Amino acid sequence: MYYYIYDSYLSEEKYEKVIDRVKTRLLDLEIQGRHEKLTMLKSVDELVVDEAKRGTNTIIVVGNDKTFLKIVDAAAKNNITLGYIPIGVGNLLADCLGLPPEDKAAEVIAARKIVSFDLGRVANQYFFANLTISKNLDRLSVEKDNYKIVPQGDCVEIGVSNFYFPAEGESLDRKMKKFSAQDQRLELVIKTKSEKKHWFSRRPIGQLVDSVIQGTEFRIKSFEYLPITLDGYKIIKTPAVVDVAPVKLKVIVGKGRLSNIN
Amino acid sequence: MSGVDETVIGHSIKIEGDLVSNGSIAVEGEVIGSIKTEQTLKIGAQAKVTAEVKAQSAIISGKVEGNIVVEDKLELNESAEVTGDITAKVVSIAAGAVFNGKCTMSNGRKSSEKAEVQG
Repeated sequence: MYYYIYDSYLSEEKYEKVIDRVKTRLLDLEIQGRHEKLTMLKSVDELVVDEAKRGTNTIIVVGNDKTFLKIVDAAAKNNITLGYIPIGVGNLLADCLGLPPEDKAAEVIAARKIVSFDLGRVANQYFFANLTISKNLDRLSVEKDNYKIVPQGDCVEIGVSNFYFPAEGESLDRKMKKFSAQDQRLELVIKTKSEKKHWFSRRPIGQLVDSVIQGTEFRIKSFEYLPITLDGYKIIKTPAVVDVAPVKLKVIVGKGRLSNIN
Repeated sequence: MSGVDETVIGHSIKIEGDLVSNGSIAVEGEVIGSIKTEQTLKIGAQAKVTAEVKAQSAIISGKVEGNIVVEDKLELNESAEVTGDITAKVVSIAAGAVFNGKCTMSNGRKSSEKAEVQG
C-alpha cells in the first residue's frame, strides 16, 4: 500500500485539475493508496513516523523539490522508500531523478525502479542535497583530515553537497559528472561571484563553483554562531560536523535520470 | 570519479596544513603546509604554494616555495617560479620559468644523474 503526502500549496484552486488527473492515473495503474495533505498542524516528520508504525514502506511525495527534501530525514530514519510526483515548475531535483511532471510521474512510480542514495548527516539530521553557509564567511573555517580551509574575500558561499543539482540556467553536463550521491563521499563546494554581468545593471549574475574538495567528514568552525541552511529549509548553527550518514535513502527514479545515477 | 578524490583548490580559499589526496589535485589558490597526491598535481599560474610537495606527476605554472618530489614527470611552465629542490624522473623546464634550487633526476636505475640549475 502506498501512502501519498500532498504539499499544502496544492490546496490552491489552480491545482485542482492536476491533482484529479494524478489521482485518476494512479487508479488506472492500480497504485492507489491513502492520501494526506500537509497543513500547518501536520508535520511531515510525525506523519512519516506514524505511517512507518502502521507498516507503510513506500511514501510518495506530491509537491515540489522542497516537499521532497523536507521528508528525507524522517524517511531515512524509518527506512521508507520515497517516490516523488512533481507538480509545478522549476523542479530541478525531479529532472535529475528522471521524474516527469504531474500524472506522467505516476508511470515511473508504477515501474518502481529503486535506487539507493547516500545522505549527509549533521547534528543528527540527514540531508539529501546540501547544506550552505553564505553569511560572515570570513569568520569561519572548515577542517578536513589534517588541514584547514580558510575562505578568502571573494568567496560568497560554502556548501557541503551530497546530491548536487544545479541552479536554474547552470549547466548540468560536465559538472554533474564530478558529483555522485552514490560514492560514499561528500563534496565541499566553494562558490564565488560570477564575473558575467547583467547587461544593463552591470551587477554580477549568479555564482561560480570555485573549489571542490571531496571527503567523508568536514568540521565547520567559526568565531561565532553562524546559520547553516540544510536542504534549503532548515537552519542550524555552527560549529558542526558534517559526514556521510550511516543509512541510505531509497528513491524511485525514472529512465531519464542523470547518467551518473546507477 | 569512483574511488578517488578529485580536489580543486580555487582562488577563493587558502589551505593550511597537510593536503593529502589519492586523486588528482588542481591548485589555483594558496596552500601552506604540504601537498601529497598519488596522481597528478597541477599548480595554476595564480597559485601560491609554500609547501613540501609530493606527487606522481606535476605541472607547475605558479609560485612554489618548498621541495618538490615527483615520481614521474615534472613540468615547469613559463610562468612557474620555484624556490626549492626538485626530484623527478623526467623534468621539463620552459623558457621563462624561474627555478632556484637543486635538481635531482632519477631514471629508475641505481645511478642517478644530478643537475644544478640557477634561474
